Amino acid sequence: MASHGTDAEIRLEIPANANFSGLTRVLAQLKPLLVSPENDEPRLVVVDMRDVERCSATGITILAAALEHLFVCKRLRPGSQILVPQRSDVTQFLWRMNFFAELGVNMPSRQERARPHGFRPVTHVANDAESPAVTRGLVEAVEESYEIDPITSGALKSCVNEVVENVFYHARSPVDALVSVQTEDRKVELAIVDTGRGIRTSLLDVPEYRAKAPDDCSAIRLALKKNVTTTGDDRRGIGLWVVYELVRRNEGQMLVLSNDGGVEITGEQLVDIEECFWPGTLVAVEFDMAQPIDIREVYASGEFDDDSFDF
Amino acid sequence: MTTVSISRTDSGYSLSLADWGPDLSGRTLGAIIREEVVDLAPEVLFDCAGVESMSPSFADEVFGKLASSDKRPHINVVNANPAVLSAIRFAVAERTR
Repeated sequence: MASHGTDAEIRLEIPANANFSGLTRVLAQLKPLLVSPENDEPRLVVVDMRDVERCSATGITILAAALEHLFVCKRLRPGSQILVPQRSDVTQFLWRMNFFAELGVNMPSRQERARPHGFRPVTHVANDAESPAVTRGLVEAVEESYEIDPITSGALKSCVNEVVENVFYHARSPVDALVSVQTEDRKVELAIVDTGRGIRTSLLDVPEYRAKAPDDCSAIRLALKKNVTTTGDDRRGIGLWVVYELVRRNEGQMLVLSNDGGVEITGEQLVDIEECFWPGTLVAVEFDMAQPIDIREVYASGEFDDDSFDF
Repeated sequence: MTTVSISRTDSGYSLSLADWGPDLSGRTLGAIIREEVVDLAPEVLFDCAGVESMSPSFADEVFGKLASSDKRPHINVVNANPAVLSAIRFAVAERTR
């Protein structure tokens, strides 16, 4: 996993298990390139995936977003390349997950496969109006693996829609938003990724948050609280809090990375991740499908046995 | 769909939220709908039949902000599934607490 090469070259050796934690450590090597001013000289980047044996949907989304960011921001020198996995089944999986298509590489017809079962390819969301349709597709993938009730379905949709909406309201992401879903065993993993300005930078627009968010980890913890918002409307700031509460009550997992900080949530526990880097904001959520995912508990409205309301 | 189809009723007006799709999210869409109904009187009925999910931001933008508006019609919400109804109740409670 070591980085080596000349000043002009960055070589990323992707580990055999290209999962979330492995990839974020590798991508930290791209930090000088990802955060450098746009007028700096582009660099030659070689992404060596030859040893990859296993990829998660979240891992592929992260890698695609990072490379797309470099491409969009003109940080890659001509000649940069991806060395594809030696295992053909892994390469085919990457094709099916839209990894190469997202980077502008067309899929050869021989690689076309039926739509994958239980997950969806990495999907680009260009604006918040696209979010409901994309989210619906993600939840349909979950429904291919599990029989879920309308309450669970609605909660999963709200999770993705809220995080995607944050991207377009706050992030200013050069790659917009990338999302993915994967089901495995009794878990559902959702990832929403942008390469925008990050949570802390956004919160610093509000003077009262400056002292409360001295670093990226504390900014993420602050953003998980209810009614923390940069809009000036103290009744907003609900979206990320709702996602966090759903995960907490489900005893699932949530990982938020933003620039130089990260927070990992497992049930009730929040743990800071200091040694990480993501150029923007990355939210990965894992739900336990054997446990309820009931947004009504978060809203705690109490009376659920009627279908009307007036005020 | 960005235009609002509102019908006249005996007691005011009604609209079917499912016209905007089964999954409602986003403050942009929510603001469009709220602006269309805020000046109607005396009552607006929101029919939620066919709405499968509603994000908290959408619920706040439509129902939360209507609830806190000084001049607004009486709002009736019908045919909402339990999760949608709880999103609306929460949005209204947050804006009026």
